[in-house]
Amino acid sequence: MTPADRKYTKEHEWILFLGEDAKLGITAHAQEALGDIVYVELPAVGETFEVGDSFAVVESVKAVSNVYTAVGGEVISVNEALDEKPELLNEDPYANHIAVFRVSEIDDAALLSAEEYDAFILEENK
Amino acid sequence: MRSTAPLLFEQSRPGRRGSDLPLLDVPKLDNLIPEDLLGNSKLRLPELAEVDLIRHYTRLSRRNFGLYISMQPPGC
Amino acid sequence: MRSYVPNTSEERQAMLEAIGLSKMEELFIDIPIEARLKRELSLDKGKSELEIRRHIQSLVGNAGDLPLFRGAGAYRHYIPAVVKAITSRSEFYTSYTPYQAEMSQGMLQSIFEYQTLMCELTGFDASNASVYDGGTACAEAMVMLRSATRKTKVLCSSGLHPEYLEILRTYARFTGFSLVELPLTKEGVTDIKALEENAEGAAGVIIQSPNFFGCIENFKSAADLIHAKNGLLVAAVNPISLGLLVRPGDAGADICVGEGQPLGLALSAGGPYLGIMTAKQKLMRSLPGRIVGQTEDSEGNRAFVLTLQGREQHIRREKAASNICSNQSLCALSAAVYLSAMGPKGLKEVAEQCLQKAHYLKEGILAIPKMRSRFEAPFFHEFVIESEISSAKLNKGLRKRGFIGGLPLSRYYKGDEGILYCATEANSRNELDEFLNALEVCAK
Repeated sequence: MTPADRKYTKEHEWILFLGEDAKLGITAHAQEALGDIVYVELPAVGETFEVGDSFAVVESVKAVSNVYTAVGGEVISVNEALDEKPELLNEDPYANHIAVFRVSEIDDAALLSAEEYDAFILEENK
Repeated sequence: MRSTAPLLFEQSRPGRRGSDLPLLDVPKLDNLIPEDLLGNSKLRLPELAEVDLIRHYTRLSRRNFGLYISMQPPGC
Repeated sequence: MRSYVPNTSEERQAMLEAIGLSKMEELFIDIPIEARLKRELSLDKGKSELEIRRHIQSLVGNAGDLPLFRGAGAYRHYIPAVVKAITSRSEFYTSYTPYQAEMSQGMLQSIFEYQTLMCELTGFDASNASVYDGGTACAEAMVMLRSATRKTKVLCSSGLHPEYLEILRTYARFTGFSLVELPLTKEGVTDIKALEENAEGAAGVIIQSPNFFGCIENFKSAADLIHAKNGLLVAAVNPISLGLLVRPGDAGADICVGEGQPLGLALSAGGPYLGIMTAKQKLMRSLPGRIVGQTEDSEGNRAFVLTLQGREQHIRREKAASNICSNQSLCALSAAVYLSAMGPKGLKEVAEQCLQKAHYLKEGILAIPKMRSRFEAPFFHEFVIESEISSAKLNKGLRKRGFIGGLPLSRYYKGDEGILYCATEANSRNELDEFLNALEVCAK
């Protein structure tokens, strides 16, 4: 079940807005396509990114993928649990975020609702 | 984990040596290097006799494919 | 004249016919006629193996056998016979890159052992499978500094080998680094005050020890200073010197690079050599080049594979840690055999003999009138001597008497008549004494 409490992108990231901040992660579809995740390159706390930047890298047994942000802002915290256990992203991609941003800019056009995202995946798989 | 090709370090035996040098033939001077620039622990290198090395690497070579065996399609 | 291609013209004809062609030219029809070469290549007739041997021999002469008193980044050391015996096995020297693990376990294990030896020798957690040479390793370490700290200001000592400095400058100029070169003190080591003054905002500092002029640097003080400003220390080393000196990992360095030529590789007119790179665990993923890892096969046996390939360009393209996608397997193998043949006692002995013989040589040279020492810092096996006599004149005289003298610094530093001398365990007492006699005559 794709959680309805957050937004999604066509690059298979999710964004959960919490007031001024936003939690970012990857979707169930993304983790399944990647396979067993073995490493997550987290951004540095304090680093700033613009809309469309790659802010993290996820490495699985078969691929290395950039994770993009649909929001601009500053990283105020990262999920350090992923250092020791990158597989958390496979186990529960919606409970395990990658980073938290203090949002300064939002690319509204890039954001999809849960239904729109589900429809998008269905279309992609055709 | 099983292995039929022990590593160099696994075959190391204290005191074994695989080479030698002539004795130092100039007078030996002391205190040429200040104490704080010197390494003070034993070098962590394996101790093997020459024959140990030859057998180890011959064994490894027999687990490797080279051009003398057959052509290799991969390029550079 | 035979060809290296074994197939005879009859065999080639049969192959052409098998694919429905009759002439070799038909294989090239996709190349437009205008672009095709319409004549024979303007090359000399081929030579037989014997003629080539004679020709090369006439070029080399006896230079390779003369007593040698220079180093400057590449050194003549005693190479135990076992090194060549092992690296001459065709399974090692004709094998391809070990991408196909199942047919490369021998080479993969030997590289894994090499990596382990490098970690133990230098005092670090991770090593790559090597890069081309010390200079490349140095430049790649500079790139690592940026990916680790995201800063582009890099400090480096002017005590680095001038060729390493040139490589760093080239990399810096074209990839957006700002390189700050720190001067040496009059004792001959990196000016620590200059390091302190420039450390703010620096990704790190690169220091070589023993430095190009032979002087031993203090990694610990440099490490403390640069760490205080959130920068990292890259230690460039001579692996033989580690038979005596403190390991850079123990002295606080974060990355170690070095020229591995002294470990069982002949001088060989400049190469192939061996770029050593080791680093602390946290920097492992920004190490460039190949890394061999240990794993288990489907039957539970230990096996080896190329690993962490996510750093490499065939996976990450422009986001790769580096464009280097090669290593020096056979040279790394030579280094591993050399170190294993020497063992801890042997390497210590080699380093000790280098130290003692170089000090003996320096004392002997300073006893000759007009000769002066340039630097007073403690040194390992190289040192600079000045005099009023031109270095070219001295070396010419020495060459006439059958010796290859020290390196004229004018090779790298215009107008500098100083000479960089070196002695290793390969210089016998006899050789040293005869050299000193010859030098005294030439210096008159």
